[in-house]
Amino acid sequence: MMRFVTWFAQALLVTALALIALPRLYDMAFAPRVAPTYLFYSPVSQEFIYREHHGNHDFVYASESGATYDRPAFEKLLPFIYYKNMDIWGLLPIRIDGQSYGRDTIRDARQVVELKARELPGNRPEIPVYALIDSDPGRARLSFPEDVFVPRDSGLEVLNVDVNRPDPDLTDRFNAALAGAGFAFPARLVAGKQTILKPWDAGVFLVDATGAVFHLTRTGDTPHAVRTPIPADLGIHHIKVTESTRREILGLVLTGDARLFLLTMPGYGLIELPTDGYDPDRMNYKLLLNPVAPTAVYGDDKVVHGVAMTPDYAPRAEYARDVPGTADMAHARIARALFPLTLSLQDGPGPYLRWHLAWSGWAGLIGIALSLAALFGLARARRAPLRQTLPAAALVTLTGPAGLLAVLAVPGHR
Amino acid sequence: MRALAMKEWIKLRHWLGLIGLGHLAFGAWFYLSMRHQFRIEHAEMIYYQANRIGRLFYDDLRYVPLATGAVLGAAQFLPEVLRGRLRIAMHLPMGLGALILAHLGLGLGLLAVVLAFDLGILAGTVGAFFPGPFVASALATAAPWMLAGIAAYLGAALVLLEPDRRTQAVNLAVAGGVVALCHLSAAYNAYDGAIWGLAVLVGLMVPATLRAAARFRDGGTG
Repeated sequence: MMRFVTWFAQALLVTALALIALPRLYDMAFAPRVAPTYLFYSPVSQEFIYREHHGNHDFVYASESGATYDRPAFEKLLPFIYYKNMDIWGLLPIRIDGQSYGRDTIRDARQVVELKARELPGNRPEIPVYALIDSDPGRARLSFPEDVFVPRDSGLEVLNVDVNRPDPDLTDRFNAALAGAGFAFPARLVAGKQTILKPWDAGVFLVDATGAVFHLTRTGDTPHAVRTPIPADLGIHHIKVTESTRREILGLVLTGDARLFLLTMPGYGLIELPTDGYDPDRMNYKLLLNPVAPTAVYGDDKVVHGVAMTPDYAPRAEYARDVPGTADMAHARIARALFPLTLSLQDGPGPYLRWHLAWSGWAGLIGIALSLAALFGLARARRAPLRQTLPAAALVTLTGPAGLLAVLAVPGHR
Repeated sequence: MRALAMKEWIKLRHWLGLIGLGHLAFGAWFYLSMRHQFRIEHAEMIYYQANRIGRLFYDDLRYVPLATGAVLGAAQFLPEVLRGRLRIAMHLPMGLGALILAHLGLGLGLLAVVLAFDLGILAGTVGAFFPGPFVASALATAAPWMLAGIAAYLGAALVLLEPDRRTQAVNLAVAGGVVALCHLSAAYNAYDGAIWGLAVLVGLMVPATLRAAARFRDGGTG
């Protein structure tokens, strides 16, 4: 019995590693990379157009109505994206809906706001220590402060990073400012863009224990806390803060039920964005802002959705398209037959590694049948009794070639 | 059991002295290295690099447990198989499983002391320059490195005890595979939800080592 247990443990170990390594080596050798589909709404042709990748160097530029283009013609349909090229080609200013748009007009009016799945809490690790950037440093560029805060259950703790010790004075000031604004600890969420590589600093947003959203900024050693009019019952999951020179948009607000809002300034206004078919944990969301047709594009490696809107964000056109991917390619079909069961330790959408055990479907029965045939062929050649082969057969039946490799690599038990 | 512990102590004491000195020297260097970075760079920039860019200031520790586990495993089992000492021990009034588990238990216990020292150095050094949340993150980030050390120790035993060259190569690949999985990501806290799977794989190496020992006793059969 002991011999069987130790044999099984070693065979299981080899099987697990083979379930990880074999498909990975196969993919490295044969799998092509397929880029995601880029979907846009053309304010020129008034329809959705896309760039689709079919592996290797095969790119297709086409429209939802079936027209195909070469790359320059495709770019000319997107003056708010490729305006620098169009300027070089002498195609600006361009007239759309009777309005003329030159290079400078376009540059000042366009903006891209993006929320990636890997940015969401739960998909990325975060050390809860936040810099207290001075929003009005009295000089041209922002600089990193020596003060950071750590949210504690009963308040913020402000620390000086030079000495790694709490600063009681600043701690009292910031907690007093938040208390004065009606903040209830502990904080559920802290959100801000913790970098100085931005044109200005919007400070941080904090969601308190009741769900109310507060905006905290710092000028010198003076904190400013404001309770925003954002409804406390919105169920906020994440706030993406983005500071652009246009100073019209503060960021995006994602709720727990996958509704997404544009956070505007001044006044902390919320504009609900289209989210039909949006899965925040898998999909990246991109809002392409322009003065004619702001467009929301979101998707993953299976499907891409596009919703074009009027300048006041009312939906005007929608389109969804399956991403070609690699699932129907020959190498993928062979892989499904060869590797009925795969195990992986992979990141995605954020840096967290996760275990995935996947069954390839009915095609995997081919790999299992071939592996079992090889196993019984070997057993017959070695004149091994059937009873002795059964544990190995069970392992191969469950795992296919990975189990066969383990049985061959780990000498059989007697 | 006491005799076995004495035998292991006599065999390993010089190696343990070297490992202990090496880790003391590493601990001192690790602290000075961190301190040096805070002396030549503004602390706020180091915070930014550590927290937002994800630079691991304690990355020097990454392969220390791995090297320690491999050295300790080799020091403990290489003399046993090279000079056939283990065969003599197998004549003691003690089952093979208990004998090997006692060897592994002693080795893993010593390794645990060294790894605990490393974690103490890590927590103390990071805590001297960063607040508590950084210490918690550093310990979680270093957890798979510690498992890699245990995998390296068990891998050394698995390879050295196995008498057949072909199976020895398989065991080397298995140990290498488990260690590689422990070092798959360079991001902090990346293994927070996956460490259990690595622990299972490392755990499976213990009965696998018992099997290698049985094969050693039986001259490569079984």
